[in-house]
Amino acid sequence: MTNEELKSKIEVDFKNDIQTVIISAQKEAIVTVSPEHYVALCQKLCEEKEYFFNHLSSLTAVDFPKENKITVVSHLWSYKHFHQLTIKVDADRSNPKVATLENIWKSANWFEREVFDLYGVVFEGHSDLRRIMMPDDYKKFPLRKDFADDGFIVKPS
Amino acid sequence: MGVGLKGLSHKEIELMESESNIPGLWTLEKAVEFIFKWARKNSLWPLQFGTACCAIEMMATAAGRYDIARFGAEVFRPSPRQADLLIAAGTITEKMGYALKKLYEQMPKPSWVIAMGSCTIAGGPYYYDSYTVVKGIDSFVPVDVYVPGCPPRPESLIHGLMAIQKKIDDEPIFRRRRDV
Repeated sequence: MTNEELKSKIEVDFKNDIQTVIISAQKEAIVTVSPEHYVALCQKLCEEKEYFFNHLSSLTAVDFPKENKITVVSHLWSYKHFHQLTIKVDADRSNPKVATLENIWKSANWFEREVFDLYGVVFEGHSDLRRIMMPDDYKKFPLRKDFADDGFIVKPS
Repeated sequence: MGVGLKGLSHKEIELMESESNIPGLWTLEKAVEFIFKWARKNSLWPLQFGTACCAIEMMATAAGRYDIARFGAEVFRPSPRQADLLIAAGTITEKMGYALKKLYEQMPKPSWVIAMGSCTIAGGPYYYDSYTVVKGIDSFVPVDVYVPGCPPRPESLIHGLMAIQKKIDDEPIFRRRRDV
């Protein structure tokens, strides 16, 4: 399906679950969903025949300190129909908790560990949530916008 | 005594002219030193340690065209207990720094360290704005030779190896253990 067809089909099928679905300036279909319907929506998108998004390409996060939220962005791809979809869900910045997608796509395991390591987002239901690249006893979250590291980072002067 | 010997004390002049210091005369001490140094510098076995792009250049140096085996670095030992040269090739992050320090401490002394590439010398292109790259391995491992480049050409690495061989020649054979 093309992205416009995908957008109209999602608007009809999942009217009660999603918040918005738009076509971005880069011609991508982006679905914004609330945290309660996040896993159910992804499960349906993975299993239904017309969508069949059987590959989670990427799961990252964006930090918005002024709007006090961290958005978790996941990109889905279908190997059967060759279409792509982006799903965004917001989490409160002071205590970010999002449900895990590990039971649907196994590749979410390491992606969510990376988001936990660099942003601090806790994924509920994850089987092995620990740091993946920073040392295990590291206390901070490097990719947040207010990360200040006691002089280790050198800025060009 | 003569015109060219100003500034030397009497004792130093005597030592210079004594029998044990006749240039060109082989004594037992000199012969033993020569044999030890010749054996050490012509059989430097590197430890197989490469983390990033410099490791590719190290592999190229070990391959057919820029053969490092003709300098004695015949085998790259995977175990630090059997190696005496640590070629630190690649970016070292904080997490890897603990492992590198452990490896250096496990290598039996005398051992030598080459810091290959700009990441190990001073953090490289990750000097600014990186939250975890160690800015130069000489903060926790004593480095003998720095080979600059990003990555250094195989000829540069061979030049670094020859500089280590020259350093072995110039140092006494029983060296003080270095602690960082």
